[in-house]
This record gives sequence, structure tokens and C-alpha cells, in this order.
Amino acid sequence: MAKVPRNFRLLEELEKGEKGIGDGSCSYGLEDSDDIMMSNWNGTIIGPGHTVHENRIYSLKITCGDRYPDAAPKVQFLSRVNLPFVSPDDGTVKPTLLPVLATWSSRSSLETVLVEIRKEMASPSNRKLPQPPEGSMF
Amino acid sequence: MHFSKTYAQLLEGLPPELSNNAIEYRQLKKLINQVVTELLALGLGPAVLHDLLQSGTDPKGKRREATPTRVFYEFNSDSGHIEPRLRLWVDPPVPPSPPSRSRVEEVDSEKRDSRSDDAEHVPQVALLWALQRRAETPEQPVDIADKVELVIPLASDSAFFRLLSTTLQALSDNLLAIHAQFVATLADLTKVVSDTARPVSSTSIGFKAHSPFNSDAGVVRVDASSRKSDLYSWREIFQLYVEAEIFESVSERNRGARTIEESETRLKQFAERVTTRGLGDGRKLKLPQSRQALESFLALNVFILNVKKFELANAEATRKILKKHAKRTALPVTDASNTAPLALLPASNTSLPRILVQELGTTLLPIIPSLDDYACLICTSIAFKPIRLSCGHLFCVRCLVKMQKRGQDDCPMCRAPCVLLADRSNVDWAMLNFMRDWFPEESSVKLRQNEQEAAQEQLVEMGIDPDQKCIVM
Amino acid sequence: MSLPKASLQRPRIIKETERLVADPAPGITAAPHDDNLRYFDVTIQGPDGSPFQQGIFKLELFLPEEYPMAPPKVRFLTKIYHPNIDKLGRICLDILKDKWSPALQIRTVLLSVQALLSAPNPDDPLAPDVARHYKENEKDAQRVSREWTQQYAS
Repeated sequence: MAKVPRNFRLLEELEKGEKGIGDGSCSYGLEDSDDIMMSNWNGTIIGPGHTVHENRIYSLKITCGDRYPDAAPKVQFLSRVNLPFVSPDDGTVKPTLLPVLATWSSRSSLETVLVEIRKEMASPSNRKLPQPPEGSMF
Repeated sequence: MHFSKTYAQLLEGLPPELSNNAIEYRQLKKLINQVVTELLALGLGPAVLHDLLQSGTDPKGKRREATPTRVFYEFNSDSGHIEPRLRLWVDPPVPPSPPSRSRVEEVDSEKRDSRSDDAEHVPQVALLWALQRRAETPEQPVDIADKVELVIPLASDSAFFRLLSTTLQALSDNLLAIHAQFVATLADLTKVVSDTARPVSSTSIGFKAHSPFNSDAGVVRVDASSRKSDLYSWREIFQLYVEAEIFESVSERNRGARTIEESETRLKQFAERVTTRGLGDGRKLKLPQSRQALESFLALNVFILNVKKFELANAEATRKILKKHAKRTALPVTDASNTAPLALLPASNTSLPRILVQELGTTLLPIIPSLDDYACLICTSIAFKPIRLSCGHLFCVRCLVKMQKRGQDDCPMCRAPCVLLADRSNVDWAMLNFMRDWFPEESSVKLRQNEQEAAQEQLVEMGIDPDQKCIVM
Repeated sequence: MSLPKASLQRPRIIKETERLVADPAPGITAAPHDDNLRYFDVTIQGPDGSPFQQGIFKLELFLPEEYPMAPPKVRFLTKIYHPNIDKLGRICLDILKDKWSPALQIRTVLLSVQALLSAPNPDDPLAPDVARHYKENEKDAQRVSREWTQQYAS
């Protein structure tokens, strides 16, 4: 298979993100629409239903380095959240603690990162964790 | 180094049929000396003549009316030859007093003894006396207003131009003869090559290029290992030749004729490549007459190169000798206002090498069909099996199948919506047979590739990834 | 031994690359990446007589798996003020989309992109604000294009 270079891969993801993904519970877009290197992204996760996160909207910052998608992106929560794989200090997602980042494959994407995080929020061990006040930011 | 020496050296390196017709450079140089002597006899040393001619024409080439003495250098071609002459308008001669006349003659004769090109010190007055002496001989002086018109034919200058134009004429005739010879040799060579590079149909009993249209290429296996033809070697040689772009570049950035040095290097590189690939001997050229033909092919190219050298040298020789003529005599053979004399000289055919190269390209090279002309424009390999769309464009079956699977209906060439309509009835059987005949190896390789690719595609369509490592069950 | 025969069967992408490198079109260069032969670094010279004259624009080009059935993907990396090129360097050109034909090549695509610089089409915009500028005051829009060319493409 032809290896899709970083920039064209990110363009594909951008176009997919602009059209809207899945049921709309996750979305992402460029932080700055002028960013020709497409490094900095904003992500949004709508908290899964029947969990403590229900109806909450979480903002995230995702950074794609030069080696993306061979290397995983850096992910950081901007909204305060209490999850075992998120640093309570600044919201950084610890890659070793989140399976989609720990076993990163270039087939994964910004979308899978967000979707996987949302799944983690709904996991039996995380769904009932006490959360900081809604709308508070790091 | 003097040009005459350079020129002589170059001619030595050329075959006699060329060098025998070279420009008589030394002879022409001697004639220039005679012209100088003749002019000096008229008292018209270069410096004097230069001044006079200058006063006759201002820099823009327009005649001025107010100057006392005017001189024109002109060419009379009424007789069919170039006969240069001087036309002058001078004041009517005043009878000179005896003492002054002898003084002038003294100066004049002194001048003749000294070095001919050291003419600066010839006094102006000598000219007038000399003119008077010559005035009776040629044509009757015509009195215009108060000026006298004199016409002086220049005998040695006529000789110069006669020799130059006869040589150039002979040269031009010679090149025509060479062209005819070249065409004949090329025709012979073309015949030999087409006899040694025959298609499969002429050497194999089982295969007929004009077999009925219903044969199925799917089961056809062509015999590529024909032992009686050098088809593939010749195709390779010609391909290398075309790629070498020996005489002309076809690249985007420096299109056009190459210099002699460049052509020479490239011809050498081409010969080296042919040898390195074993195309110059029995390894790849099985038939002895093929090897002879290759020699002859190379010789033709060397010959073109020589003609190129020869023509360039001759053009240079002509230019130099005319320049020398102008410099030594101050007679302006050519300048901005006067290009007539060059038009009178027989034109040498400076594009002969180009014509010869074209001749090669249109006569010899096309006898072996080139793969480029039978390639599918989509995959760029041979368009086998060939499918002719209803719009008339031809592609390989594999690429059209891919387009059909993607639902792409427009012909890649003309956008006519006819791709989805194509089926078995669109196989171009005549073309298919032609390809098997002239490209047996490429056809069978392409056929195998097509089958492999189709099989792989089927696997993918069934959901099996053929790139995946084999899983041992 | 049978090098030429094998070379007759060279895949299309290799053939195109060889020609692009050996005999580039005037004002255009394209060089494949060492580690990805489908990925090209491209430069296009702004055409004479256009506001992009004397600019050297960097682009990247990628041949997807389906090429030549599908068009190459091309994008400007140098910022450019042009109604059919957006902020991310994406190009609005019909042959890169629905008018693609498998008979077209990298060379023809890049020549078309170069031609697009000479002939902006504000009626089919990808950058609406630039297109409006071009439609309402072409002279002033061209001035901005020239300024950007000087600032980013030289």
C-alpha cells in the first residue's frame, strides 16, 4: 500500500472532520485555519450518556508532530476532568495509560483518539468517578 | 593559430569526398593580395579608400550630396558573374604642372615597393593623378553637373569572387551528390535491418499474424525465443540511439541542434553503450549480416558528423576570407547597407546534416515498431490485450476493467462516455495479432501481469488482504 | 542481462519520475522523497505577466494508491493570494477533481497548476474573500498577490 504522507493524511482527516464524524459526539478542527503545517487541533467530546459525564462538553487540544501518523499525537484536556489517564495538573493525557496511544498504529487517527477517550469515560471503572464542576478549565 | 592552418588540419581529418571540395582558402588569400596591389596601383590604399567610401556614405547608409569626391564599391552581375567595380565622382581634372607630377609619381612608386598594407602615408593627391591615368581606359567619363563619373572595373577582385563562387557552387553540388549517396546507402541498410529484425510470424510456423479474428488471446502463449531474428537487439539499439539524442536535443529546456563536440561525445557514448550491452557482437546480434549492418549504421552517423564539421568549417572559411578581404582592401563586401554581394554567391546548404538525420529517423528507425507507439496511455506498458473503445481510442483491457469497476465512463483521451459500454466485442484482434507478432515478449509478460493483478484484486474483493503475511493454518 | 526488456515494463510512476527529473518542464521541478516514491517536493515558478511573476512557490504532491485511476493530490506550501487556492494551499482545479483523466500525468497536472496562476477564476472560488477582492477590484487584488509573492515566495 502506498504510504500517505503526514500532510495529506492530515488534510484527509481535516476534510472528514469538516463533514462531521459519527453521531456528532466527537468533533475536531484546526485550531488556526491558517496553520499550513496543520499541527494544532481542537477536539470536542460530548460526555457519554448514563455516566457522570452526561451532557458535559469537553474541550481538548491535540498536537500532531512531524512524525504523525507514525508517532501518536499529543493530547491534552482543556476542560477539567477526572480520569486516571489525565494529569490532574494540566490535563495532559498520559500516553502510556491510554491504550489507543500506548499501542499507537498509523491506522489510528484524531477521530479514533477522541472516540477511544469517550469510550474510556463510559467504562465501568470511570463512569462514576467524581468530576470537577462543569465548565471549569485547566 | 592561423585559420588557414586550422582549416587545413580539420580537412585532413575528413574523408576525401568531402575535403576535396573544400574552400580554396590559401588561393583566395593570394588573390586578396593581388586586389590590394591592383588598388594600390590606382593609388587606392586601404586608408584612402576607407576615407573615400566613408565620405560617400554616411553611417546610416544614405548618400551625401555635398562631399567633393564620392566613391562606391558595387557589383555588376549582368554577365552572370560577380564583377566588382568602383564608381567615383570627382572634380574635373586640372592639368598638372610637370614638376608636381613627377613628385607624385615618385611617391606612388615608392609606395608600391613598401609593404602593401602599410598604406597610411599615401598622399591624397596621388589618387587624383592615378584616377586621371586610368580614366581613359574603361568607360567614358560622364559629366554630371561639375563632377566627372568614373567606373573602374577591378580585375583581380573579379578573379577573387570568381574563384570563391565557383568553389561554393562546386561545394553545393558536391553536397547534393553526397545526399543522394547517403539516401542510397540508407535504403540498403534499411533493407538489411528489416531482413534481420523480422517479426514472429516470419520465423515461426505455428503463429500467423493474420489468423482469424476469433482467436482467444487468453490461451495464446507466444514463442518469444525466436532464433532467426535480431528483432529485439535492433529495437534495443534503436532505442538507445533515440535516447542518445546525438544530433538534436528534444528536451524541454534546450531543444535544438547540438554542437559538433556534443554530438561527437554522444555518438561515442552511444557506441559504448551498444558495446557494453553486448549488442555489438554475437552475444546479442545473432545474424552476421546484422553485425555488418550495425557497422554501417555507425558509419552513417560518423559521416553525418563529418558533413556537419565540414559545413561549419566552410561557412567559417567563407566568413573569414570575406572579412580578410574587407580588412586588407577596405572594400566593404558586406556591411549593414550592402548585403547584395553575399546574395550573389551560391548559397551552401547549411542544413544537410539535419536533413540526413531526419532521413535516418524517417526511413530506418520506423521499420521496427516502437513500444511507445503501442503503449496503453494509462499504465504506459503495452496495450495488451488491446480494447478499442467506440470513440476509437485504444487501451489495455486491464486499465479499462479498473475504470469500469470504478464506474468511470469517460474515455481518458476524449471524454466520450463509452468506457462502460466496452465488452469482448471491443477487442481489436488485428492489433492484438500485430502486437503478438512484433512484441511477443512484452505481450506475454503483460498477459501474465494482468492475470496476477486480476487474481489479487479478486482476493481483495473477497476481503482477503494479499499483502498480509501468509497465515499457516 | 535483460535490463532493457525489464525496463520496458517499468511501472508508470517510475517512468514519469525519470522524465520529470531528467527533462523538467520549464519553470517546474519535482523530486520524489527518498523514503516515499509517491511523494514529491515540487516548485513552480510564477508565470511571467502574472502577479506571481518571479515567485518560486513550493508545493507537495502525492500519488494515491489508485493513481492513475484517481488524480494526484497537490497542495501549495507557500502562502499565495489567489482566488482558487485556500489558506491551507488546497487548489480548486477541475482536473484534480471530477475532470481527472487517467491519461493525464504529473507533468500535465503541474503545468495546469502553473496555468491557473496566470488565469485565476474568481467565479469558482476556494478562497471566497480573495475571490470577492478579485471580482470587485482586480487591480488592487493583484497588488496584494504581488506583495504576497514578494513576501512569501522569494
